Amino acid sequence: MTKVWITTMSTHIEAVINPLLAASEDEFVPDVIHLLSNPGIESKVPLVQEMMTAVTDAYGSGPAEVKVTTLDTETDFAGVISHIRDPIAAAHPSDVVAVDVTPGRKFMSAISFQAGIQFAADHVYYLYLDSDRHFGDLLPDIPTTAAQLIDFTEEL
Amino acid sequence: MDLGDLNEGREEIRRRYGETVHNDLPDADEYVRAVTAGGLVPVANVSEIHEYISRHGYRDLEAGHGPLVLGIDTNIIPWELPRILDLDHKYGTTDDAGRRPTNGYALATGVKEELDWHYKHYETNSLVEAFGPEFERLTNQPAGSNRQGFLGLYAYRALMAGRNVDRVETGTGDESIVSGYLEYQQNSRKKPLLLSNDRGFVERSVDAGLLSQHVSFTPVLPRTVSATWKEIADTLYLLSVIFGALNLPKVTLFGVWNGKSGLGWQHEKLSCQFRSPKLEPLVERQMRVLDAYDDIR
Repeated sequence: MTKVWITTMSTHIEAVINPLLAASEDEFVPDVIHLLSNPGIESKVPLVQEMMTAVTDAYGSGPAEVKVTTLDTETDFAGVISHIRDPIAAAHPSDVVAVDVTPGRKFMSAISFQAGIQFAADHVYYLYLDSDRHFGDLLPDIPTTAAQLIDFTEEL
Repeated sequence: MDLGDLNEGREEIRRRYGETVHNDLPDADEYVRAVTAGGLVPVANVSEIHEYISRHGYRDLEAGHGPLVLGIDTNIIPWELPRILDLDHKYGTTDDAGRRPTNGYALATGVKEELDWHYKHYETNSLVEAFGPEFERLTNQPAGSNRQGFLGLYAYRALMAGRNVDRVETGTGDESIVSGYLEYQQNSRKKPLLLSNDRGFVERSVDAGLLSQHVSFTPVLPRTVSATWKEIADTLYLLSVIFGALNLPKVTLFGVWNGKSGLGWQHEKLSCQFRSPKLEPLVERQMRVLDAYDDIR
């Protein structure tokens, strides 16, 4: 069984890493991560990859493999959809696939959410923070009562 | 916590374990200062201080006014009052005209000298007997109020490293410190404003023609307070240092331990000893991630 994590880039590293940390705390530590990069923020991708490696290495049995897809233009909506759909379609029935809709531009979150539900991802996650007071903090520095990992496949 | 109980408990420790152990425990005053610096309770005369600062600070430098610089007495330098009172020239809140409450610091070399207490070889057997085996880790570490001195020393160094600071050459003792500041005031365009918890020092400074403001700490602690996560973390750090070690549920926090380095003091490090086998791997994992994050930032 492979655990797959599908997510999108953000200029704020914490927005990408915190949901992954929350899921890992919840014993969903991915083996493979699909990260969507878009023009303008490629420079932060190596840092995010490094943090993804650190998180999955600390919580799992070794670092996850991180696969990066890069869009040619930010508004390549079809590209966003296939970034979500392809790994779900390629997954073995025993695999568990989670789509994280927390980071990224609003339209990317919207597409991720829609695609995650439509193509039947096992989890569609959103990390809810109770205020913007913890902006820029990594999850261990945020009070546990202030952060909640929501799985929309259970909520809706 | 009832402060009377704290002092009574301290006296009981003196009766049962003797002077050395008694002296290692912070008294009620020191406890109040630590929870004030952590942000759990306000400085008792905060509005009086702000009134004094608004009368003398927020200088219009462009109109040719001389800058106002803060001087801090030895008895309060460990407790980060410029930050707590929002008086810092770098981070203090600006007024409507965009001016900061103060324009920098003038720190007396005498204050630094008074903080420069040296490590004492410390015999921990009596502490271990009184408070438990945790205190074995405190060998060769600063004892009692020396730990407060260390906090002051590193607060002094942090100001020197990160702020506009004038060094004011003085000897030690009130008289010498006040006359050093007076000379500084006469020879510079800047006006020092001294903060102290010692009324005698404040009176002496005012008599000499210096601006000086007393800082009072609350005599009674509230039964409950609301605080942010950060304030609680800061307070736990300060209490771990002044007590040496704190026994919390599932974990013991050490503010000092055998082998704590200068960098450890500078970065406000604590040592944790887990008494819960569940908690240890959890915190270790989080620390690995936070360390990685520090590395990439």
